[in-house]
Amino acid sequence: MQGIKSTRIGEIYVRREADIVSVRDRVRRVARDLGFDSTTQIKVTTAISELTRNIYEYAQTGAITLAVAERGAATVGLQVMARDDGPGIDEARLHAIMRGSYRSGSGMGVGLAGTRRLMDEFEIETKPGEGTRITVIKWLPPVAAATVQGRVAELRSHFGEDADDSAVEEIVRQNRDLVAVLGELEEKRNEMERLNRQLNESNRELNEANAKLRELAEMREEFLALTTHDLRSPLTVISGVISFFSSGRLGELSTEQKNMVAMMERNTQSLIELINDLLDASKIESGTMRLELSAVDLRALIRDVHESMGPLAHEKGIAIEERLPDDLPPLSADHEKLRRVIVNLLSNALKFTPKGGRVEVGAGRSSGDTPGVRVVVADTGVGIAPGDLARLFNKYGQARSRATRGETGTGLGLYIARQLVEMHGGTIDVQSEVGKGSTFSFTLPVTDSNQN
Amino acid sequence: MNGSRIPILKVGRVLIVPIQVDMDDQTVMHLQERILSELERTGARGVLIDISMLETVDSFIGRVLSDIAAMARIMDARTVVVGMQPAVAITLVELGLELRGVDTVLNVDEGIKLLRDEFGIRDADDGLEHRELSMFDGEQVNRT
Repeated sequence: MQGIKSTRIGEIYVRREADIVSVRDRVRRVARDLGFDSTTQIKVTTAISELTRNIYEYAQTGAITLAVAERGAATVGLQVMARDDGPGIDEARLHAIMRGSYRSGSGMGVGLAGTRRLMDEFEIETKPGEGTRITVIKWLPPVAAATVQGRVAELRSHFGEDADDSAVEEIVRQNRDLVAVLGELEEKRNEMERLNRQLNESNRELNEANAKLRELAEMREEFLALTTHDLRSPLTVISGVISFFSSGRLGELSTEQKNMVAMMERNTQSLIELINDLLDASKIESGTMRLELSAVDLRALIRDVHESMGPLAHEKGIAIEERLPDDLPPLSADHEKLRRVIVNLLSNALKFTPKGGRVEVGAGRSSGDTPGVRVVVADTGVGIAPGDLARLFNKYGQARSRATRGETGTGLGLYIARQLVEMHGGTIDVQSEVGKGSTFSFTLPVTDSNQN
Repeated sequence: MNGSRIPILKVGRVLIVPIQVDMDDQTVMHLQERILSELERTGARGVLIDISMLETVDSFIGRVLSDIAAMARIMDARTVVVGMQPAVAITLVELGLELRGVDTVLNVDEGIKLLRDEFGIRDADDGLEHRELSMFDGEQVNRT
């Protein structure tokens, strides 16, 4: 309203029918405290009751705002604003209502027109679909007006419950938010359940695939074990026959024949070694490899291996040097497995050391925290590139740089060596420099802990 | 909440309904039902509604008062509204509300007299058997 200053006292939400009583009660108290006479109090209360009833009836929810209105210096009054977001009123009907000719279905159709008569100022803003906003003012007689100044705070105390009201409103709003959030959560939960189902499905498929793979792996190991075993039997026979020839018991051989028999012997031997490798690897894989521990004289063992490798070294023109101290402690180990480790390391060294090179095999007490024995096999061979070192001890992990040099072998030797050393509770290590040679070393503990 | 207990008293063949507090709409509607069922139960011939304590009579309450009067008449009873405050009367007129079909008198005495004259009830028939018939129980009013 033009030229009128209003100071808000408080607001009441209209949501329930009982709120009409609450509005009446507060309007009456505010009107009384402002200094309206009792007749005017009743008029104002009744008028606002009409407005509130309209809100509840046509818009269901809305609000009643009370304020102190001031026009100029001396004119003070009670201003009430009723607003809702209901259907609004079209112009023709508004006209009829204000003229008093409209008859509503529920009330007596006197609400708005009557309110205008009961109040001093009346202003209505409404359009169909845009809600309704009605502002009314009742002016105080000049005598009472003078006492109103500065009493707004006191009047506001009537709205002590206003806090409750807005708290309720707040709770309602929070509840709505909560419901929305819960809805979202429910959706997410459903989504998650769906994903879980999919995951379970994929898991099941994976498990099946896994089981199938494991089965295949087992079958492969089994096949490997069986075939290598079957391969070894005829080779043993062949090897035996060859040794007959080379022993000269079947008559003296010509030089050419001797050479050929020697060639057969060498190749048969390497074939047997290859098959042994495969057999061992397969045993390690399937976990059926068992250690048979006994007291092992490392010195004698290394000597023995050196001796058996002697002819091969001699043939390649490689010198094998031994460095064996006298005070090696006795080891508790599987004699055959330990021999195999040393053979593998030594044959590996011979294999990759060029003619005229040197291989050194040594042993000694290890310098680590735990008492142990360290065996070292060093060569002056081609060496290993740093990139290959890591996978050297892996299955079939023969360094590429070596494989390309046309050397034979399954690439299982070092893998088996490492597995066997680790079964004994030891560690194996390699240091190498390309072009200068490699040093393989393994350490076995001498205490009881080398039982696996 | 106020308005939850409104007694309906029977004095002679008259139901007296003193409204002491401001009522919400549900209470008003409930009161209407109670009055009609008491009329049926007791065969009372008159309803005297005392609104001397009521400060707000808006269009809804006014309409219900009219309705009560109309319904009571159909049930062969007269309705008198007594004790209306002058300010309420002024307000009703300014509001443009007529309490159609409702007789109004100044106070309870006048009201009883009017009803007695109307039905020719003798003095001996009433006054002594003043008893409360029913109370408006808060529990009966569903306020949520």
